[in-house]
Amino acid sequence: MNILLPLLADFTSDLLRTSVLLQLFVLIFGLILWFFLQHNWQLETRTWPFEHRFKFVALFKPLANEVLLLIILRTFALALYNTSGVAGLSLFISGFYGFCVFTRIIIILLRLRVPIPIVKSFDLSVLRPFLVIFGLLGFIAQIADLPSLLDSPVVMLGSNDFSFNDLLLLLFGSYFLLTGTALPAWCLTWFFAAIFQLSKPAQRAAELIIRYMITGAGFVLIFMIVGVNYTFLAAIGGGLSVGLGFGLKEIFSNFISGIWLLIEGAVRPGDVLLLENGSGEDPCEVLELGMRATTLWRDRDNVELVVPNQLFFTQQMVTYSGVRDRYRRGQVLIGAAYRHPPEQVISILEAVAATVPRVLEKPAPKGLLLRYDDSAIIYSIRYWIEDPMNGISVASQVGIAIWSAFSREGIEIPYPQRVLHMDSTVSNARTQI
Amino acid sequence: MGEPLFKFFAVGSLPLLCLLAGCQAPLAQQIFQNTSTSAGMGSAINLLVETRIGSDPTDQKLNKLVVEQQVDLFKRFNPGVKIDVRFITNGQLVKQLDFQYSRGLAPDLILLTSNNLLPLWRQGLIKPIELKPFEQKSVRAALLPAFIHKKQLLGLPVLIFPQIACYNRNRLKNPPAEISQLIQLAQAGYPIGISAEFESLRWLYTGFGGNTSGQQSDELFKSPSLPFLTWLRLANLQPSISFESDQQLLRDGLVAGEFSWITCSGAWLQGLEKRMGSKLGITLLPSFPAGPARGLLNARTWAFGSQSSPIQHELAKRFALFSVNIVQQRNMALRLRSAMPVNPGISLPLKTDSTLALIVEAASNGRLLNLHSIDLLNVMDSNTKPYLDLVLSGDQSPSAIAPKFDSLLKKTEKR
Repeated sequence: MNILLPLLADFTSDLLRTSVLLQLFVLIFGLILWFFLQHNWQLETRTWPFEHRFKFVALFKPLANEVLLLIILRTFALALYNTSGVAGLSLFISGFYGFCVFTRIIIILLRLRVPIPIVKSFDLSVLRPFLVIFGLLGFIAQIADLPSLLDSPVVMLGSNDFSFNDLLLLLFGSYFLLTGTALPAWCLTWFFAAIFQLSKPAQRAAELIIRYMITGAGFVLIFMIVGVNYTFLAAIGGGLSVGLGFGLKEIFSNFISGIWLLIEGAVRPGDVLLLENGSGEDPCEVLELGMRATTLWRDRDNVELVVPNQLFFTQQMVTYSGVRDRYRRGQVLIGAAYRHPPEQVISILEAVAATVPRVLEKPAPKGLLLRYDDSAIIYSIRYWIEDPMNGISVASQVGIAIWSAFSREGIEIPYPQRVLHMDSTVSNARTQI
Repeated sequence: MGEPLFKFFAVGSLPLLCLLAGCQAPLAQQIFQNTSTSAGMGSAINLLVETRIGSDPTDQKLNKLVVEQQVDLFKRFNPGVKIDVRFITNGQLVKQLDFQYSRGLAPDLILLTSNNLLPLWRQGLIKPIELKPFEQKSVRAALLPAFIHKKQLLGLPVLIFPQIACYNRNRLKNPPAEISQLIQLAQAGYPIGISAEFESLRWLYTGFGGNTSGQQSDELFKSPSLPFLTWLRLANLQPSISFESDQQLLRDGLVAGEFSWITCSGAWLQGLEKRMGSKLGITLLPSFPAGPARGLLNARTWAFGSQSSPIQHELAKRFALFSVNIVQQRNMALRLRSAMPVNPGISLPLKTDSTLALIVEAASNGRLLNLHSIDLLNVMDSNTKPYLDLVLSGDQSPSAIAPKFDSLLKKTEKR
């Protein structure tokens, strides 16, 4: 701030110059003209020619007012330049605004192919901050000696003399590395997935690994450019190792576990699994494998569970989306009265399960007689479903279908019952009971 | 979508608008407080200082230091004034000026290493300055006419750097005082380095042409060139005389001991002194039968930016005049010991400081070209080079080249 304030103070001094005032006047006049034109023309709401014929026309319609402003500002700036030769500031401002509009167009195009959350995150966390920094530095370059400003030393740490440039690179470079690698990682993954026919979970794992690799390489590059003293880094490393030994042990362990899981492929985003101490029949889907913890989504109550990565190393878990396939076998247990022949009951169960929409035809549902209980013969109908997350709801549908079929066919689902036999040798036994 | 983007742009523009409008925004307040308590609106000026590519880092550092000291002193006597100084190499000067000019932010004051002002004036990058009679007294009366073009004063000289000769004391006990001794010295095996640019060779051209009078002549190239070209050929026949186009080679050669004697400029002295110590000797350029050598004088000159507001222009003028007042001029002369101050009212310790005495004597002998002449000389340098190369390489005799050379000089001068 101590560096920027004098620059702005100098610029306020230069504002009294006719050459600067004229440029500002032209821009303000352009803004006023645009305000009236956009109000009268209503470009964003009116129907455009070929709007219904060509889909892309409608896509870019929301940018109509921005493009109109760009055209006005650019035209005014160029007119001033051609008449006076002094319009660098207005050309810069209109050019920068043009760049902003261009980025909006890119975002619209990205939304057509790239998942919207990635585009949104890229737009808000990367593009807009980048535009603010780029605009600010660009404006400073117009009014002052930016290279000298960037070269001026700001911080002294150990034997390292950090310039304003280094500080910007460390600060914003790190920020953009952490936030801005999602889109390039997604693009690279898309490329690799097309070549190697990767499954969905493998794609998401590859995406994360690529992100980590880009981020890691980026940090190394930043340190190399900034010229951080290796002794200084070693000192930091030493300090960190002490920290890791105490407070940061868990965090570091979780981080390493996360990377290991990704490489091993045991847990990948998109996988469906059951934790041993988890929620019984409720499987969870892996949403995100973070640096410290993994986020799971549980269908039953729509909650997100944040599980430390380390847990996957210390506990056994069941996964439905392993190496072979994602199919899950479900079953419904049902009791039928002793009087009904088991062959009849089993055929009804198999036929009923096959009619439930999300039950797979192959492998075919299989009915089994499990055991003879006190009140009923216990049967099991086993079937396969495609999405392991649907286990409970499909089981419910199968159960309902069985009840309807048993009612229709007159198959009794008996209540618990006990047959008592009276001992004839005991007199008045009934009365005694 | 359009509406939010406009809002985004509008919100982004708010701080700038607040600054422009001078509203109650805290940042704007802070800035205006900064400028109002210490400097009023418009009391900030930008200085662009030209530095020579290839000049010695010591010379560059010293020149920067001198400018920065002046700025600090001026600010001390004028609290509230802000001066932003930017240093730029001569190769980048015009590009930088064009860049700033196209944005309406051309520097208020430019310190040039020479008085070559006409190209900048033609491009509209600088504007004339008006000096009141009492202000003109800060500069020697003989110097100011050289800066007038079409009755307008285009620049203000600050320091005069003369052309001199530098030699190695350990190798050469008696430097040549006359031009004939220079050849004798070369014949005796002393390595000698001479700049091959026509601008730097002009002392030979005028010396052999007999134009060594102290009067400023309007005709720049009236001397016949044959004696000059003949001497060049004769000198080049000596294996120990080298003509170098790159002045840095001369400087480095003297430091490394490859040359015993070179033509040099007062502007190089600090760097050479630092690198050679007591081995460095300086002397006047060898004289001619008709009189002393009249080397070119190089004037470090203030030029005034064409886009300054009236307040800035006035402030720039105050600063430029501050740099030529008696105290500043004396301080600069004693600090640099390689340039003659332009203020006539200064008494320098010439009896005790032989270096300064020699600089002043060389400056008195030398000739400061007017704006038109120096512009011509710059144009001419590239035109004369092929002819000089033909003579120096021995491809053609001086008598064959001389008529063409004279015709070229006259043609250029008439243009």
